[in-house]
Amino acid sequence: MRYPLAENEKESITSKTGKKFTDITLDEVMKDHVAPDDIKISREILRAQGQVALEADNQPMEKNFERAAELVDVPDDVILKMYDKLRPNRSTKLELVMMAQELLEKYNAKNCARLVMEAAEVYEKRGILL
Amino acid sequence: MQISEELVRQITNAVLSQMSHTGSSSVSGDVLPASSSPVPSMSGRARINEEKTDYSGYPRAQKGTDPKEVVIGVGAAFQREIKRTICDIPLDELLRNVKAGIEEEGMIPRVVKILDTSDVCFMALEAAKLSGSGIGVGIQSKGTTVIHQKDLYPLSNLELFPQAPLMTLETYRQIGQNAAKYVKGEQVVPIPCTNDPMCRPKYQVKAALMHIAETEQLDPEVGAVEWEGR
Amino acid sequence: MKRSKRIETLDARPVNLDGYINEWPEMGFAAMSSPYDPEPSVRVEGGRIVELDGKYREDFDFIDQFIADYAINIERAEKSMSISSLDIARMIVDINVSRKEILELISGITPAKMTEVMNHLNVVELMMGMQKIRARRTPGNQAHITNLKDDPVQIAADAAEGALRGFAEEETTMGVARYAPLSAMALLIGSQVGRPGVLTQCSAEEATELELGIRGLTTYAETLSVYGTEKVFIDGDDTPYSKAFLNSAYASRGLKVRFTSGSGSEVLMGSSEKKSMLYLECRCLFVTKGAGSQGIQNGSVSCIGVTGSVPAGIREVLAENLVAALLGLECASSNDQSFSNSDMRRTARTMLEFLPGTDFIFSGYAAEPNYDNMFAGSNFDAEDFDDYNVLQRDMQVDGGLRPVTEEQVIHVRNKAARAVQAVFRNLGLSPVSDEQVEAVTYAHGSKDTLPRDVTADLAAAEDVLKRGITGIDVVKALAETGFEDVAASVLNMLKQRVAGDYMQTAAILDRDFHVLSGVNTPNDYMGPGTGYRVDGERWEEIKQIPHIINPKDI
Repeated sequence: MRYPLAENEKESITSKTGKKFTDITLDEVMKDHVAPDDIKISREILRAQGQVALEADNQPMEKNFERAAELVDVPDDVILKMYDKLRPNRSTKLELVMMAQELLEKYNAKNCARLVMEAAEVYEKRGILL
Repeated sequence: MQISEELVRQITNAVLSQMSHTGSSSVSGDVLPASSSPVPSMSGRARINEEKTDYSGYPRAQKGTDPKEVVIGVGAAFQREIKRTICDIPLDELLRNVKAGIEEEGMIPRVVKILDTSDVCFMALEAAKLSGSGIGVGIQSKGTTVIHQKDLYPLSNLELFPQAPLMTLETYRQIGQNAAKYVKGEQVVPIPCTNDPMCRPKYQVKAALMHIAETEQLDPEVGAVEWEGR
Repeated sequence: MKRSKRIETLDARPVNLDGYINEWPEMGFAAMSSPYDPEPSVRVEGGRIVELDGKYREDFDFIDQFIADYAINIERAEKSMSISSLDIARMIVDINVSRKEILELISGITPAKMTEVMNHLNVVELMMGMQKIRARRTPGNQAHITNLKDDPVQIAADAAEGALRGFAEEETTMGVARYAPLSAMALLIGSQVGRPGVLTQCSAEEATELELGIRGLTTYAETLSVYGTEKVFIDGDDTPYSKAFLNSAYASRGLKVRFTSGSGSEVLMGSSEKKSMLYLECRCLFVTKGAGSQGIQNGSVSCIGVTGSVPAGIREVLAENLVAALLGLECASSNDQSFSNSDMRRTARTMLEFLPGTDFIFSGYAAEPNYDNMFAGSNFDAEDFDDYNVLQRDMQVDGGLRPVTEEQVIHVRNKAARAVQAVFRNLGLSPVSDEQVEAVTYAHGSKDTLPRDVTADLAAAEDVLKRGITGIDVVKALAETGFEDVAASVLNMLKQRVAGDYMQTAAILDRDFHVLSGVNTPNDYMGPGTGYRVDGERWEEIKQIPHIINPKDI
């Protein structure tokens, strides 16, 4: 996909719910045809933006887009809870390991799971677990 | 510990007062007075106060059970190494006013000293968790204050008063009153904010030094101790 | 001693109201370098960094480990580290060496090496570096939109005027944190009245800010703070890992995010580990890079009173901005906090970013009088608008703003205030009277406006969260009350998160919602005759300051 996607690929962009980018218009909103979830980004577009980042020689940003793609289907409240558990002195090692497992098994979020597992190890070493 | 306060004053390089130049008081000599700064270098020193207060003999702070209780958590150097806020309010007076504010609203204050953190939000949260009502007030020795509730995020708050140089005894009394009103579940009108954009250039270095002086008195092994006004 | 009248006069000058302190490296009062800073080093074994700046992997704290595993390009590390710091410094100012080439090289160096490189550059060389390394071709500017009363109507009006004046991004915050949902909503509406395409943000506690973003009440986030020592990071209630996760969480909802750091915070929080401010800030910036962020707000930011108090402090501030750019990050280069009583000193400090141009010269120009600035005062405020416009004109420099007329200002302020009034009524939030709209339209600051019913506002703010009101509800409310054009703009802002283009480095939007970022409009400066030049329509616009003499009037 060619950047900027909204200009070069607008016909093929769909949102998280499959809503076509070009169908998100004021008319459609006023007819109640656009729900809040329709204006969320899709996994495919996040990966496409990851490719754009990679072509710009930005590997860490590509990895972030990859983790983001994995989190698309994780509900808002679960994300907020997970973030909170990753803060210092909030979790036991077991809790973080369980969180990694949930990310891996329930959401197939392997890069996020890996980040959490690394955090669990480092947090243990640095004494910031419960 | 007056010495250390002297030192703080000295090294903040006369922020408010005009600097009186040392050197020869006479113009008759033909030797040019030295041009070096009158402020001594602190390089090589790793502390502001050489001595650290030992709190191991103090009673540890307990979790309260009285639903009318508001716990005030004061900073590690409070009323000891530091006796006045950044804008020169005596800490004894400050504390008296917060307590009076709480009592005026029919609630009961209890003072603890927080020794495991010098961050005002975490101090206030710890006070809230120790408080029978779940409402706590954190006060750093430089005067920065937060009203907190035990189930909020640490860096969130009910009310935050970040600009310590603008605080007055009246504000501290209102803080006590508002903290008590949160306990009573009343609709609380937050104390109006004040703002002076020139606080930072004037006070930030002094704030840093006071915070360092507070932080170096921490003793996480001890945690929090009962501190009824000392 | 009998006093010299000359010295007495000098003593009374505003510059002597500022705080200064001697270097004291043990407490972190050292700008560019400290005798305790580590020597640069790196060792790679089995595809992993096992030694970083003199520390072995088993001794890494969580910052070291995150940098080693995420921020440094391991394939390039040993080669990049073998080039001398002086040579790298020279390449940075050499117009014949491209930005791309330098960024590739830099991606393999360590924080201590970066610190060493910066110590070879004086301020003019740092500015030359910034002119070449900045990510986006055109510089930009960002405003703070706040007031002492947390009055949402004033927020909307100031946002509209700020957008009209050229700010590409606008940020708000609150005196009373619980106002956040109303502040965010008012800012979103006001910004689009002033100029479609302006991005908005509400600075709040991390979790709150994320929630407002997810709901579509803001369009970007900036308060992802990182710190240079482990102790201060923990005091900030985060780690590089939680921040990286949060960054991914924002991205998963299609939001633009920028991290925040800045020298002096570790000193202010009493845990600098004896290191220089620049070295600690380099660690922050490497963490930011490693987390995959597109950008950073840095340049001492709210700790400028500390960094500004030590020798070479302001040189250090520019150096840290340049480090951000060298790591390929969008740099919103501070200038957003009052730091001096002296007009001369505060202006000089800003010239370091204004002249070379950065992605956002200010990461918060107070678009209200400073007494209303709830970030505790910015370096420039609404009363400096004309000074700033004249500076752009004097030097033919693009500082991101433009002159406006009084009629335009009144028009957009009034429309923004009415739009907020209509939306609040439509959504059943706290009432806004016609008198309030009128007062805000013609106001300079909150001293000229009417009081709000704070209790009703706070109840409404809570209601917004409880009822799950989103950006889509705001779009509908605007359209239903006759503000179709604003509704369309807000919807277009929401659509950005579906395409995600504005999540790439240094992205802003023009009035037609076209993205301008480091990817599609990269900085191509390679010396005279290249790169961005102020000319054409933009130069004509900059020339049109108020109060020009009309020769016919003589």
